[in-house]
Amino acid sequence: MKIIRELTQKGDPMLRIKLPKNVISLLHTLSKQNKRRYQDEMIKRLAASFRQNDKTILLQAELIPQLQKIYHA
Amino acid sequence: MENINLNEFLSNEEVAALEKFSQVIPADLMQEIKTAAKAKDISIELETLSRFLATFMEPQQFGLKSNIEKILKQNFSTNDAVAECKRNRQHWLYVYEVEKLRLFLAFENKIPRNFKEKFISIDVKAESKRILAELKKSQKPWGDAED
Repeated sequence: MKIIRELTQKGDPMLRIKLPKNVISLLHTLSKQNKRRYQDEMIKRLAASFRQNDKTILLQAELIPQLQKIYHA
Repeated sequence: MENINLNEFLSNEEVAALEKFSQVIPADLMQEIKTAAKAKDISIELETLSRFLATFMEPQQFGLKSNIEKILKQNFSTNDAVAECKRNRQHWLYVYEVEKLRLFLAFENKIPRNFKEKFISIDVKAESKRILAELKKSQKPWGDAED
């Protein structure tokens, strides 16, 4: 938690992306359960995905084509 | 590859609600996302979304807790589901029967006399009174029409 709070310093960039509703809702639920802020939950997950980048890339290989189908449909 | 626009997933109000939770992230993390998206030739939105989904799918691989069972228990137990089904069924049965009674009363003259219909979930006498009053109001005689 401390590390995450230290990372979120004033002046850091905004992640201006619009996530699907169900993803936002799930992030909120998870942040409540883990007793973190929404922002901290988001950063923790993104940071974890970069720490285990090889595993992420393997999962992304399955996910990205499916997501592209949904968004282009 | 085209940039993927996720606007269609959220209305303006929802986007405004989202603005409440400022998505401030560390500069180096932002840079990493940009680099990863560029390497895969996809948009930042898709890169971020796929990373989130990856952590939802396999939380243990990323050293995160698996909360999905908790969420399922909290939000939707079997008893809740059964109660919800019953409520829905009761509601739609009521709506269906009221509409059936309305049709029956509106076309009573044209329906054969031996026609019988069963009603389970409504009080037929009370509903008939209410519907007949409504039908009278809506069917004004020709002479009463205002100019």
